[in-house]
Amino acid sequence: MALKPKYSRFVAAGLFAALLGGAVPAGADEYNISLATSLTGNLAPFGVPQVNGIRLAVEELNARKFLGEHTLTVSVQDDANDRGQVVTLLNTAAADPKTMIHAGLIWGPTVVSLAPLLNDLKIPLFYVSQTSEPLGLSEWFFKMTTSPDKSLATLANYAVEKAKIKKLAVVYMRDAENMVASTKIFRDNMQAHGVEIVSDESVLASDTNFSALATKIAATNPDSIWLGTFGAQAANIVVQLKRAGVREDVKIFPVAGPNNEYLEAGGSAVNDTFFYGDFNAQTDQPMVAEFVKNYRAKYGDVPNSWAAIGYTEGLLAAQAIKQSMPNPTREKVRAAMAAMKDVPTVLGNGPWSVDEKRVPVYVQSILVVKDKKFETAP
Amino acid sequence: MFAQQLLNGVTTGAVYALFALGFTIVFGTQRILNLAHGAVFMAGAFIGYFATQKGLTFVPAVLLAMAGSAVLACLVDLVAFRGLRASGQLEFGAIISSIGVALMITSVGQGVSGTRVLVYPFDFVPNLFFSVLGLRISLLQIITLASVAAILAVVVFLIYRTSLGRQIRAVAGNPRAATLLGVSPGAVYLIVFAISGALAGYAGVLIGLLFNTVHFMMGDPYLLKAFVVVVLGGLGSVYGAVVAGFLLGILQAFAIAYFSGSLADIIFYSLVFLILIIRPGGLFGNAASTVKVGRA
Repeated sequence: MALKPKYSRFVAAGLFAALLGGAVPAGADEYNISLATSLTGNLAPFGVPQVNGIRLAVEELNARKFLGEHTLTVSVQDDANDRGQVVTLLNTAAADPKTMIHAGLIWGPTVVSLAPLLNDLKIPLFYVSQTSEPLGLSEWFFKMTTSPDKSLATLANYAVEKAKIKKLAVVYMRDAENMVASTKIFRDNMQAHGVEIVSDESVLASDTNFSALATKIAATNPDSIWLGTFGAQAANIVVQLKRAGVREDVKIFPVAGPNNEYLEAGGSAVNDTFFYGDFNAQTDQPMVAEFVKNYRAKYGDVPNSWAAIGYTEGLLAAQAIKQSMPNPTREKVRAAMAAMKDVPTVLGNGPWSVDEKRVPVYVQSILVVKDKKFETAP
Repeated sequence: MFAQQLLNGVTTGAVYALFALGFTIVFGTQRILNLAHGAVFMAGAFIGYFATQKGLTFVPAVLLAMAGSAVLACLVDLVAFRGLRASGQLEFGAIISSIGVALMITSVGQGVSGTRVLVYPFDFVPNLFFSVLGLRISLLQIITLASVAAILAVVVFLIYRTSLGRQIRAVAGNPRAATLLGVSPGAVYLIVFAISGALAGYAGVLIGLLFNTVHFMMGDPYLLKAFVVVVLGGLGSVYGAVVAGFLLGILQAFAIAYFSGSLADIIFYSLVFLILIIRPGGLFGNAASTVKVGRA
């Protein structure tokens, strides 16, 4: 069916306008970061702020044309902490030529199991869990946070040399490998320094009732308590410990990052608890303050360490892609990430680098809670 | 430590009993496993939390949570079960449909909370502690024990001493015969769901207060415990649910106190296993008998 001349002119004009509107400047490309993390299920409290963080980073980087004429995108998928879904999403990311880096993965055993597939797909993968084991299994693995032995050595030294602890009660989450690993490092470190372990207990991530546990610990009369659990749960345990009669001057060392949710869930009970600091939303560092301000404006909430991790993933991925210009490939991006040095991020107390084993290195400080604020510990 | 752990166990067990009672009366009257009960419990905790954010004090916030959860439970009945009941496909279909409704309610909870853990204001119930015969007991524990005892007494009175209770038991025994006697099974089911929801809602508020955590996934572990409690107590048995609820709380506390947290579940489930070998129908039930809201 032929169109009348006057209509065909409209159609032609419309097509021309559509082509102009959808045109991309010559040489301008899109580079994608795929993020597969838990948006539903029991790990959603970690995955959701991570997504918020990376989206904010990508938005800011594009606004200031970090990649020049090129655009950075982020595609987000829910892995529901399901290993099959994780594999599917990794395959999907690898099949997309625009995707330069795959990010996400909170659960250590899942990360380890992906090594053979990753060696086959050859796509850089940023994971979040604490274990460094995957780094030795595939050169395509990259880790976001520093290894627990580095972080915990800082905290252990503080506990022994400054806090002068002698009798330690240990509580850790037994269904999270990173918490089991962190607790082992801290416990071994304390025993090596002659600290007596008066109680050694474990909980599950889904547990909320710690009344019996708290009564038991209070009866052992420790002078310090190690909490190898995540933020809000750690605060909840502290509250129940204090209700059970644990002395106010007992020094508490949670492995959880110094998050706002810890302060909200713990109230005044969490005063005088000590952390090593991956992220402190209350610091006056300009980059962190700017991140907190923008995150609040966009999401109406104070970012926690998972949001900071997501944001840093975005920054580091963009940095690696930029250093691989022109014509970045996954091999070039991988090489850039393996050589990453002194990149300003919101994690830690200084720039982010990787060492020769690709373990992240950044300065951490010991923080203490005082009246709903994190301060540098004395 | 023994007496203190007993108090911990009794307090926790009181809430388990409250939660499990709601679960078992639905099963007792209708022979369905309402797997959305945990989600209703979570919703009760959320309603209570947001009521506190609006400045409501303890009693109005609790009443609102119970009323909201009762309405939600009625909606669960209307959406998930009524159609299946009419088609005669209730027994197994109800499991799937209640899982679906539970997921919907949980997703709403996730959206509303932004996946964050919510905490009731610390001064919502004054943080007072009393020393009684060497026991350290909080005002919240006293309120929990007293209110749960009162509610359990009201529910038992309602079921065994009122006209409504007779209707509930009549429908539980034989819905057709009850209809012939002028009882409307549909209305009775709705009332039972409302009672079940109100109990779950209050249990949610108490758990949120006692254990300082309100979370969109909080219903799942309690649903599993309620299931164990009603099996242990005897399916559909009101007294069984109450006794088994307390038993679970006390056993858990002692297992943690005298063994280890990691062994608590193993010890508890081993005991449940042994009890069920000796009494397959549970402490107050008989697996072969017709399930009903009965005394034993």
